[in-house]
Amino acid sequence: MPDPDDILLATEDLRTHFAVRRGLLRRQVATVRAVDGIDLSIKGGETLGLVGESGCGKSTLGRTITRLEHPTGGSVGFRVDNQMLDITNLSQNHLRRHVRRHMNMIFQDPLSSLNARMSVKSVIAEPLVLHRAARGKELEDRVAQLLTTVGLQPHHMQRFPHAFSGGQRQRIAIARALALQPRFIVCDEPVSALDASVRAQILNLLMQLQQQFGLTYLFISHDLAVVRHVSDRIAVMYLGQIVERGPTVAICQTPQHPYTEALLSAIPMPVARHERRSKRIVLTGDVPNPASPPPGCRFAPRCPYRQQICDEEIPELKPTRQGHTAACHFADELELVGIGKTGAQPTTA
Amino acid sequence: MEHSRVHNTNNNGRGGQPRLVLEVEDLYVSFGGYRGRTRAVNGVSFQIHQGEILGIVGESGCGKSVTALSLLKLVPMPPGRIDGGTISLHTDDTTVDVTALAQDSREIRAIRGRQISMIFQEPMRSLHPMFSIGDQIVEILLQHFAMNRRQALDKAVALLERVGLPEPARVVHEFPHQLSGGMRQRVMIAIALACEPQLLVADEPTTALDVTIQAQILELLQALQAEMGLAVMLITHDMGVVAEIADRVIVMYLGEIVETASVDQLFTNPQHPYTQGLLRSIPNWTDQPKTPLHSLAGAVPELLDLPAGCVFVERCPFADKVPGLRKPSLIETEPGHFVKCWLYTEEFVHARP
Ligand SMILES: Nc1ncnc2c1ncn2[C@@H]1O[C@H](COP(=O)(O)OP(=O)(O)OP(=O)(O)O)[C@@H](O)[C@H]1O
Ligand SMILES: Nc1ncnc2c1ncn2[C@@H]1O[C@H](COP(=O)(O)OP(=O)(O)O)[C@@H](O)[C@H]1O
Ligand code: SF4
Ligand code: SF4
Ligand SMILES: [Mg+2]
Ligand SMILES: [Mg+2]
Repeated sequence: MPDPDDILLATEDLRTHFAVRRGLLRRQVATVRAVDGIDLSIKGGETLGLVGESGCGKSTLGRTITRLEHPTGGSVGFRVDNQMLDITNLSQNHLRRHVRRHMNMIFQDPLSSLNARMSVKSVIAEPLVLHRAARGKELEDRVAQLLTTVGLQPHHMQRFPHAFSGGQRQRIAIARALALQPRFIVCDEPVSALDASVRAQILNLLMQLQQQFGLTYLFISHDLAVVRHVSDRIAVMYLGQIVERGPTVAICQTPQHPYTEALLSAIPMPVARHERRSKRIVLTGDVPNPASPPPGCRFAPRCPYRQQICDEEIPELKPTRQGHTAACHFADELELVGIGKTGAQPTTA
Repeated sequence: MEHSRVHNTNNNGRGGQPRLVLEVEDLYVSFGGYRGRTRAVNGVSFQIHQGEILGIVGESGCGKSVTALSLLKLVPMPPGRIDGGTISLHTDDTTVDVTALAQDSREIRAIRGRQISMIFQEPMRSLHPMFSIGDQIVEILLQHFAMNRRQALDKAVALLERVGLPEPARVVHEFPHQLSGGMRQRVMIAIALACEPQLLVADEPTTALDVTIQAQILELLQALQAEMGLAVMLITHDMGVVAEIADRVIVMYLGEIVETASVDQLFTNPQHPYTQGLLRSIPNWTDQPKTPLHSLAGAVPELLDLPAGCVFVERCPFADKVPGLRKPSLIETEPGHFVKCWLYTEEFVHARP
């Protein structure tokens, strides 16, 4: 158990449900359980990687813990001034004054999150102005300093975001996110829209800033290889819930939930044929609709190890013998295959 | 498939060599714009044989899609323009130069779908939202084959079954929006296969899909290629995807081919400094997490102001050791492995890492 003093953010049974409405009367026809009972804690200074497939609720979880979304149930605690503060039901006004400046988000598509008509200077200065943190010469100095921090030049502040490449725009977005010196940043697919050769630069920058400023990240991505590289711990999400979490390398080498194994197995490896894994699990079917998750284990309809009990009883998220936490009836019995166990090669099954 | 015209046995090439399906020679394509011409494709040459999966990799804007669209004369003209080169499509009895055909000619329309089919990243773009899946397949079948509606519908169900859609008899009556992204891509593949083309051009077919669904689609493409002797040109920016299913790989950078090799050659012995840098910048499964990644400096420059010499000169760590301002040409460094870089010439062999 981590020392509770180290915890920067913690959720308990966190739920965010959306009403699906149809027709003229906007009658509620279903409920999407985007986030459906999540317990997690993030330690100060660490990166928790969050992976899962499209629609499993990663972004909703990121937005809920930063209170951009109001939770349907459960709680979110965030450490402010060395005190764990329950921010679940704080008013936006209260949040703005006491919490917001300590947390921020970076998104996938930097252009859409940057206002095209604002100069780089106004983009980065905006949060400082809103929070009355600096003005005049001081404001300009701060913007110049932030630009340097993210690897751009101070003179770039006069230009407009569209004049920059994708990687540079992501640097601008990062500078803006850092403006108020937050302690916690939710990075939601921050490199997914970037070219491979630029992706590494941005990942390096994020890791270096973490060191420099003691930042804590929730790093959301559908790309497990990227998540593995930047995270201290990984949480795997499926249909609104965490199905497994644990230390990064352990999760990748010896997964204990069948879904984690399947995700790892599906990753195409940039290696020659003879280095290829011999066993590959190709899951059948699609991710079920989050409005009507299957009873019992939510992964059961696609799980190659499914037994009768899986359809009947919901597996609890609990510690395994290997020291992960997994929600599978057979987590301790199954011998699942991961990646990267043997020396320089991906695992052969 | 019942009417399969293209079989593995249909090898009429010499010496047991698979038949040559398509040959692109020295292709140049550009686009007019108010800031000048964008030179999207610059002197690209390659061949595709029957039963082969050719992977084309490169970062966004390097000319992959424009190359693919050129094969079907689908580049919008204007602003697009073919500035040179030939695209020879070999069928059983004839050879056609696609570049010479008019954009909307009967000849090119006969090639689309029948000889070469294309699938895209976002299947929703090519599916008509108002027509059922079955209607869309039937439409194409009736255009190209002598059969009645009933027969066409049966064939549509068979095609949907072939691409692994569960309950094809139900799906055939559904509309695109009722299907998931992975199912839609299967439908697109079914449509693309409807007329038993020789060549399937797949432009980022799995980029919008989840990794578990991507694995399903890649497996399907591989099975089709093996069973039908289909030639596949697979465009992707994902090195993992090409490694997984391609036989040969072309690496593009700024509108040029900088390296081409068999998949094993490329991944065991990448030679172009760009390919090397790119492969090293991908997080490796044996790296210690939270260590700096190898990264290429800078970003891909714009196609408007192409460097005069080597396209990679601005980012190349060896640029100062060789005449980066003179254009290198593709040289064969081992059988079937070509690289466009001065380091592999006799003259500069000493500068190699
Ligand atoms: N405002 C909303 N109203 C209704 N449904 C929503 C809303 N926001 C998200 N959802 C639904 O909640 C589920 C989870 O969405 P979310 O965006 O969190 O997924 P994600 O894991 O971030 O996916 P991706 O990888 O595609 O970004 C989805 O089914 C989505 O359609
Ligand atoms: N219809 C068009 N009009 C103008 N420019 C285009 C058009 N289509 C592509 N281009 C340009 O051609 C270049 C190559 O594009 P493309 O082949 O789509 O790249 P990718 O390798 O990402 O598929 C890019 O600079 C792109 O902006
Ligand atoms: S509980 Fe059963 S269905 Fe669920 S992951 Fe474990 S084995 Fe598979
Ligand atoms: S030709 Fe020169 S600049 Fe171009 S890749 Fe080779 S070494 Fe680098
Ligand atoms: Mg998301
Ligand atoms: Mg493209």
